[in-house]
Amino acid sequence: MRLHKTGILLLILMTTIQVFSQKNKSTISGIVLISNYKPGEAVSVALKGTTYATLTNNKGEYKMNVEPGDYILAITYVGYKTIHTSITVKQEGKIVSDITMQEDIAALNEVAVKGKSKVQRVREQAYNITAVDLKKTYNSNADLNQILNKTTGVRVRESGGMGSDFNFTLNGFSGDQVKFFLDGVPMESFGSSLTLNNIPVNMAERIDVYKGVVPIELGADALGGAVNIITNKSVNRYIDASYTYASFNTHRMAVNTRFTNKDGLILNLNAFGNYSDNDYKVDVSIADKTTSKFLPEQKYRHFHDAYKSGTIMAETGFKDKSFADYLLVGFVMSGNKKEIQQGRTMDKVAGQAFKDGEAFISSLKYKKDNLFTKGLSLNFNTTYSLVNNRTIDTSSRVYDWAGNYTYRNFGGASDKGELSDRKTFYLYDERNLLAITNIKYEIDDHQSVAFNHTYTGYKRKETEEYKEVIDLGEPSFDKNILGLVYNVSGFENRFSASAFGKMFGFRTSTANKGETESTSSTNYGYGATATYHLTDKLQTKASYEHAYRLPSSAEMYGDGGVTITSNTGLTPESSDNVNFGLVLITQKNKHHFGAESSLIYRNAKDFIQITRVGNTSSYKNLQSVRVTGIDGVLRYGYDDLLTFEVNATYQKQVNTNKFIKREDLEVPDALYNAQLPNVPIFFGNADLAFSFKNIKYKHDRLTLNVSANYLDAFYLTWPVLGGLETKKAIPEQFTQNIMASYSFLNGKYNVAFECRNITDVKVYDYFKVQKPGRAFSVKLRYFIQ
Amino acid sequence: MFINKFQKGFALAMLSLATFSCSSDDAAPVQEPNTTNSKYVASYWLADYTQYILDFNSVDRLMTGEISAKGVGIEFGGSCFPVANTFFALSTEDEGSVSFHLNNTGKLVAGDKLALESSYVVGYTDDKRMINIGATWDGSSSDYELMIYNPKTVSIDGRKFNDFAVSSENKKILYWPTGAAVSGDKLFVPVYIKDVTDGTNKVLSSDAIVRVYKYPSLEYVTTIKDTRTAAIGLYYTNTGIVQTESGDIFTFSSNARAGGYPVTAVSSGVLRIKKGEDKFDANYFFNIETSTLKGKVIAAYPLVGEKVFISYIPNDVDPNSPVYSFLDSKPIFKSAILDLATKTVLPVTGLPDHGGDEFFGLGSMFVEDGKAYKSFVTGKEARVYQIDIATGNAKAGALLKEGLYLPAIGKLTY
Repeated sequence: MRLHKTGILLLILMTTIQVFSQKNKSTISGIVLISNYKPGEAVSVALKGTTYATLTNNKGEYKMNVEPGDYILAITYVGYKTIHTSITVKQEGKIVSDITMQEDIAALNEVAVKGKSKVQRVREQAYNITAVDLKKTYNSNADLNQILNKTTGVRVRESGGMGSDFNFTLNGFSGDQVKFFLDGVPMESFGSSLTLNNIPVNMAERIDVYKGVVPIELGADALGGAVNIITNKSVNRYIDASYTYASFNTHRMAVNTRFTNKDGLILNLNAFGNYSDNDYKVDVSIADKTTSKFLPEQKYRHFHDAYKSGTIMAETGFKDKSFADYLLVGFVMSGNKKEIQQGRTMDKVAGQAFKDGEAFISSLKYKKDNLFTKGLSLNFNTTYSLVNNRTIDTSSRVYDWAGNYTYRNFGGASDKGELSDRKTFYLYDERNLLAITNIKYEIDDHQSVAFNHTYTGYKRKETEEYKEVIDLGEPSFDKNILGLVYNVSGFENRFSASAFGKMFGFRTSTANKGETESTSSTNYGYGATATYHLTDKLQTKASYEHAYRLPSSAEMYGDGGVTITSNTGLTPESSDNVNFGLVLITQKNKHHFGAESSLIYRNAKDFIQITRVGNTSSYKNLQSVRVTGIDGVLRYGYDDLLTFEVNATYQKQVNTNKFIKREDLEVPDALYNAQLPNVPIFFGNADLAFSFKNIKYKHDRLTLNVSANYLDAFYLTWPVLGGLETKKAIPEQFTQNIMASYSFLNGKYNVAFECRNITDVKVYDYFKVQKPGRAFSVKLRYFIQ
Repeated sequence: MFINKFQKGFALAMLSLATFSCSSDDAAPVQEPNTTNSKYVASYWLADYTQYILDFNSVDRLMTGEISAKGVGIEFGGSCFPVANTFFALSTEDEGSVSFHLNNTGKLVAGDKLALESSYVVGYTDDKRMINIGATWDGSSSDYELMIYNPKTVSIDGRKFNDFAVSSENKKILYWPTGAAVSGDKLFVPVYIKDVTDGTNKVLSSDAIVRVYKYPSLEYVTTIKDTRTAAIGLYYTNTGIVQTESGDIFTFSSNARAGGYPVTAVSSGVLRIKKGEDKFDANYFFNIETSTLKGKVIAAYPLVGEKVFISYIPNDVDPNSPVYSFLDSKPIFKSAILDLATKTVLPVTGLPDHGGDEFFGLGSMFVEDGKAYKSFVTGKEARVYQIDIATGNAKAGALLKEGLYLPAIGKLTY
């Protein structure tokens, strides 16, 4: 209720300021000419360092309403030299003299340079970054996990169908070592109902995957990198609605809309829902009830694996105002429920256990360029989230894969549940306050400094019906991360570099039986990035970060001991991350060719790793780990007709502990220099797409896509130990997918058919956890702009 | 069926060979066609809860160089027990229990698989089968299930529930089993008493108590008690009860903090149940605490005849040791050989003070040709030691490279 009132007040306040600010704007206008004094059409005209930008009309004319002041007018046009000119806009307005652009001979030499896409510009940053363009996948039934699984260095390990648990691995680092962001806002406070496995592709424009070195503006304590999902902001008004029906009684619905009026009032509304029975077949054996003997393997259907989730995200505010480039308040409400079909492997079946969660998130976003002075910008994001999670495992039934059950022999009122060693009715409420402040100052055209402060306050309250003593009481932690970066560019923008420092403050508090235990730590990280364009086609990159990651709530506080027991003594882990990269992009006639390759090196200390403790697991600061790897991607395109991409990743992750501690002794570690267990080592993807236009109607488009995914076998336990013949392995997987989509009326109507895992091979990401086989889907999508 | 006949054939062949070898010790070796081959099999437990089942051609392999799972061994969890020419890996976890055996080329291979819901106690029977007792750890049910595992068919032959509540009026004070042994038609299950009223599984002081059942019907007969010493055995290790070659049953009471018990005034020692009887022998008590060892017996392993190997904690060390020290690898334990018939003590020499057995016990000591083999953690390293049963002299053997324990060692034939 309070939030509601605050929202109305903000709305009134913003409207008042907006009306006032409209009265103070002046008009700037002019004409741009290109070679031979022809009018330049669709030339970009912008005021540098502001959001004021427009395109010229067919007469070369442009016009913008701006606040009076001093600006740098930037005129850019593909194949022409960019022009910067200082102007002063007075109250009565400004008519700029005609501007004539000169051809850029170097750029036009030999090849016809096309304008760089936003995705390409992101890829050219000095970071080791993969920018995934989601526009190409809008008609696909895939979720964000499946899209990301196709990128170099990334392996998303799933334990089943829709809504199943997943582990995101980036260059050998996984789980919370990789941070996720939605438009720069950390997603760790969003709960399980809003994750990569249920966000529809249509909501986002692209995904930036930062490997090893993370920009300070994300304010992240990431050890292995970060994934930033960028939602679509460039289109002012649109509706994108889609519905998918797929195998295993799977339904996906998504509606994404944006409304912006002439006065800058914005309303973003995203709603999506997912449902699946996940009743796919697996190959397992069941035991005879009398003799306890296992019977031969058979195919059985998942019968308790359904998933449902729903999310509504609403955001409103203003943009392009004198007091703010944008000011938005938002609210997210989401919930999900996942039945649990099996334990750590398929040998243990459940028919009653489930997890569910709800999240309520409010947010405020503010951005202003040229605040107080030219070149100074402020960006502030804050969210407050309430997340409720439940894990319910209270049944005394013992199921088999046929869906039959008996009652547990050993299990009175509170002994074993279906999956855990004791019955569990575990509920925990999480409260997260997050505040991210980014301040950037552009010293001149080639230099800037930026500052970031990110605060996270976390508190959990847990209750457990079957356990009289709650281990941790009400644990909480605070994280304060400060970052400072200096950016410089030169050599006609062929070179750019940055140097940064970060400070990580961490304080925990655990109340237990009236006593409070606190810990605190401060760590300092630093790094640098550099890139140089050797030629117009060839770019080199290098980046380094001494990174820290602070333990997450899940790692410290567990899930009530159902699968993860708590360890409040965890300390931050650190890593020295180095990347080298080469990027080649060229084009001849209608042939486009691109290649990228990266070498990565990671040297991690106090590596937080999940370890098995009896039937559950616990996170511990275990090891020193070194990761070395190479990945590469080749891209080829022919006009708009064909695109082909193939990529591969090889990474080696070894234990660099020379000694291990045993009680109070330090003894040599016999597994020094050994490859770590249960880590994917070699994987790759290929993707071939054909696109045909104007088949039946003008501007219609038929796209045919074939993709393949390969993962080499790897071992569940230390690869050096045991005979290979009998070793527990996650087998090699090679799957192929096909998709055909048809769009007509300029992409307004879209229909797509897809078949995943067309050869219906058995697929595993985890030991003895079989994933869905062949699946079909049809997606209907309506898009209007 | 074929394997069954095959095993019988080998058993007969072995028996013939053994008879022949006993009767011709002083005679010149006679070349006989080699119809029986054997291998030594050991489970090798690593700190990360993985286990590798290794096989060796010679027992010398236990005594030389290093024992390592690098590139060798079958990866399988569970508690392993050599039984009836198989190596049974008992696991209540998802993957089930598996019976391993040597195939006709001498390769150790997995046989059939069994699903066991619970296992807290395991013991051998006279007829080459095993007892398994399932229970609820938190005491939410006082009904425990006794099972007979048949290694020949890899299945459960018999099963019966029994109420382990100390009194039928209070189901929160429970007997908790620490071992099982079968002698003739009786199954003996030593127990301690625990209170689960507040959910903390509190161990109470008690007399030496054994529950007696008929075998193989598993029908409950009686509960016998003896006040001369305290509770028998340790949680999970199955090392508190031993049947010797005479058929007598001996029980071992630690009355030690290291064993997880609140210490009482009685002495740590050994009691006897004579073959065919179902009561403690009132004339037999082997007081270990006041013996020349001046210690408390923690665990016992059968050797030959009436001899057992014991690990013990000195009387003056136990009060300063944490409760349940037998789970730790800290070297605070010593060893000795007891002749139970004569109540004589032979301290083991050449074996440094060593750690506890963690949750391992039954099956971890292998006896052959007057020598006993077992792994010990002796500080920074863990090694196999060979103990001469006659002299008590221990000799250091192979170093365990990656792990700390060989929880089971056995010999299989093919």
